[in-house]
Amino acid sequence: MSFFSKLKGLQQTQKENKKVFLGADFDVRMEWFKETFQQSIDVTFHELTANQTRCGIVFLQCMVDQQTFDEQVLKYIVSPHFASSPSELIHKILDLQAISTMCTTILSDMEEAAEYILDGKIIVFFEGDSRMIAFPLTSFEKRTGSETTNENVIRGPREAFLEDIHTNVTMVRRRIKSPALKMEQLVIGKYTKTKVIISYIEGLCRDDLIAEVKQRINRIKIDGVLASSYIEECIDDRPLSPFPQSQKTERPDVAAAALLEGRVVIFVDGDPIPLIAPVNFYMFLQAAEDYYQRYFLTSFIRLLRYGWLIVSLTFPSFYIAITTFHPEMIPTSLLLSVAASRENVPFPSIVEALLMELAFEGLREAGIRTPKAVGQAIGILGAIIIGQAAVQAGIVSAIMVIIVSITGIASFVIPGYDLGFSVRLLRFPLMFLAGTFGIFGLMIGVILIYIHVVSLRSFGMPYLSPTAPLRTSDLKDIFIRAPWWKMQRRPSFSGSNDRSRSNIEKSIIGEDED
Amino acid sequence: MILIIIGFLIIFGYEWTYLKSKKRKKRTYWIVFGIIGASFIYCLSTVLFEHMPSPSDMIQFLFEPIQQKILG
Amino acid sequence: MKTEQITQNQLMLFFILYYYSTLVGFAASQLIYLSQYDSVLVIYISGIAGVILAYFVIKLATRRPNEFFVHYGSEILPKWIHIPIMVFFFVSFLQISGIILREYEDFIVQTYLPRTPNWAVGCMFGMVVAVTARLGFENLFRIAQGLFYLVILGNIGNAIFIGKELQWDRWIAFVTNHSGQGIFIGSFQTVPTFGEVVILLFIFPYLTQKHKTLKSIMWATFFSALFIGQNIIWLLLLFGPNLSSHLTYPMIEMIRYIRIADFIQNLDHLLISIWATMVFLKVTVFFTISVQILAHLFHLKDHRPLTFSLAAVMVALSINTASGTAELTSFLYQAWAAFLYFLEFIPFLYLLVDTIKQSNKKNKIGNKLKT
Repeated sequence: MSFFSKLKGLQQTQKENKKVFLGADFDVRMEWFKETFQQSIDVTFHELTANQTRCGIVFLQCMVDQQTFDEQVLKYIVSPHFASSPSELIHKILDLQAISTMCTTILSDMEEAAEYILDGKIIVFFEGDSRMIAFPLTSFEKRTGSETTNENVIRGPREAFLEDIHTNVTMVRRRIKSPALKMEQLVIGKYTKTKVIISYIEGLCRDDLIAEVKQRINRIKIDGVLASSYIEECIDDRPLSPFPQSQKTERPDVAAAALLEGRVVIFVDGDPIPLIAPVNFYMFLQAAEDYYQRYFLTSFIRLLRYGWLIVSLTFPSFYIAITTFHPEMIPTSLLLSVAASRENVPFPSIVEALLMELAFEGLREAGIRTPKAVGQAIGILGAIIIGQAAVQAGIVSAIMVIIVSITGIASFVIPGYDLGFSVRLLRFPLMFLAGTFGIFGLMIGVILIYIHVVSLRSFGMPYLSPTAPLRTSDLKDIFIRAPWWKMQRRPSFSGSNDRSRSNIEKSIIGEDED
Repeated sequence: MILIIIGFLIIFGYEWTYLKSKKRKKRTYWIVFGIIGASFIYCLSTVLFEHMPSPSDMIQFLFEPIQQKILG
Repeated sequence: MKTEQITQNQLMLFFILYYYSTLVGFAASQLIYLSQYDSVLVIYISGIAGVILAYFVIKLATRRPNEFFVHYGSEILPKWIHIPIMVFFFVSFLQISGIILREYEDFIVQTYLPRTPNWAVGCMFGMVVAVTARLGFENLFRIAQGLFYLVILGNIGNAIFIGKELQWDRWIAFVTNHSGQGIFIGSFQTVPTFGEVVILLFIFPYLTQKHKTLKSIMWATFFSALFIGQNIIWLLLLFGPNLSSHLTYPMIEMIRYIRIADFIQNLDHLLISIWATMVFLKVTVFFTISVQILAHLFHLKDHRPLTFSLAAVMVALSINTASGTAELTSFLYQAWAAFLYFLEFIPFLYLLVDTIKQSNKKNKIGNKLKT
């Protein structure tokens, strides 16, 4: 940080901490509020007289529960039985807080009061006392009815996070009923003042990890945070890497499982997808369903996913390498059919593959962005044009279409969307390498990727961590999923000294029957 | 030859930005760019003079007689 | 800076790959030519020699376990001898990496990319080596740890699939055919390969649990000798000593024997790619050590800014070393072993001088105490 930016930062913090006290005069304060919120049609300023005392009410019209305020607060204040004199009224409300509403706050700083208003609270102040009271009657329209849309399961919970941060935190809290579950709030964003909640389980999560996460988030100086990805990109260990360095989920059960493993979950207000850190490569190949299905099935599917991962990364480049450099690798009959289908194609296989891959990526992107009504048309267009017409016209070979489709399927098998995307991205340089150096080039490319992944870290945790560096005790949940009664120890990155997480008596299994 | 020049220009630029971002001492700059320069000259001369002596010729000259004697 | 990052397990797995890679790939033909059916014996003799050398190297290194040899060497020998020796080490390690790279280039160009020039392959490979060297030893050894399982899987698969092609009636020759001259010449050529354990001297400060190092090296030698021996036996049983020694790369011919259900005609590309990663590791470790020696000589904080330029030098060296494969082979056969012996005996000199100096000191203190 240069000197000037430091100076700027200092000025900014001073500005942020600026306090305004205007004393007990009613009109001056009302004027201040009106000036601060001028040209803001949604702010309501209301004046009334209760027990010969002028009181002002300021709030955001669409963000408060006006009816409750009227019934629970206003009705009592204006009633002649509440107080007999102005001083009694002020004493009852501000000193004793003898009102039927919880969690009110007494404050006298005007800037603070303005912030409270923006946060959806109702500010009430009286003639003759500099203090103000804030009623937390926030209420606004939220999306309801949350069901998973991206991480679907056949068996297991279907609940998904919503945009409202408090709802999300509650969803996790409902799953982990322990006082050790901590939620710490930070506010990020100069203008958006977005709430960011860091949650972890004390005793399971390493202290240095919590400190590191907090420090990295606090370092962010940004105008606005509208989604968790703003935070994600600012706290990555290696921002230039194509690999995702924190996990995202829309499922409260996944977040809870991560917390139980000693990881940190970062909620951002307004985004239904919190971040989970640290993460390793293998976590992107684990789906929530893995833990809800029986372990045999899960283990099989996991191994399948690794196979598809390799296919997704290398299949087109492998094909290019074989057809251009090493035709002797495949059996003669297969070679002949490949050659026959490529007979009419005017391009070398690398150009053909690039054409098809780019067309496929384009189709995929178009499919996501288009309105649902048009979406189907795109599918048909893609199938006919790419699938059939291109082959019949002799622009691409039929085998290439098969290869691109298989690769496309493979990239969707990877449960972590981020990882799937980086694999799709890395496929292109590999194709170039295979087109220029054959298998040797492909190997060089794969080694480079491997080296990069080995050296990568996510919040200090090595990216390939249970395999390199090797931790045999953690391997039970990597390539296969061991049954729950076998996974008796927590992953070694958790901070607890006592690593046993379950102790299931094996005698349950195979109890004597006769 | 052009490839070597381009390659070394890239290396030079890359190391320059690296050293700059790490705020190294002036001495480090001198050493690093000295080594880059020396490597450049060596690489260039291997291309320009095809029969330039290499360390392996030296090794052969020194150690071949010894090995012959040991193995008889 | 935290230096202790390489676990003993990583060290062991790395050394298995380190020995296995070039011996099986490049040196098998020559070894079988020299010592025929005694080759396996030669491998074991060389392994033992390597362990003995490792013992002395570790003895020297444990005296100053957390310092770098380049730095503390000048305490043992006078500076004007130590620095030229370090420069010699620097050039030698760079040259060794260059030679292995050259062998690899020749291999790839001859078998897979006949129309590609050597330098193109060299540049590609050199770039990867430079990138890895930049990441430092910790990551290098982690890479080895991950690759190990792949390599061993490949090796076991290879052994099983070829098993049925072998001519087992040849086995009696391992008992009956021996020649003292063959064992001697073969060992003379092979001991230096195991003697490359001398690199321990330079990576010692990075190790954790240093007292277990010798044990790890012994296990590594044992396992690699086992794997290499198995491959050599397979070669001898498949081709016999005469044919094996006249093939340039007998290993690849052996792999080409594999047929799996007539689906994949030639598995060699895949297995060779796996094997190539081992060669890559070996080149990288020599290269990284050499770069690090240079960085230490100049008292630089890190070796990173030197990697790319020196990688270019390594590639240039690899091309400049010989004009063709024949010249390279004759060079390796005639002078390489003696050169490596010389290189690997330098630590003995340091150990000797250090021991004398220390005993002198003790005597002096003893004398002082007496008087």
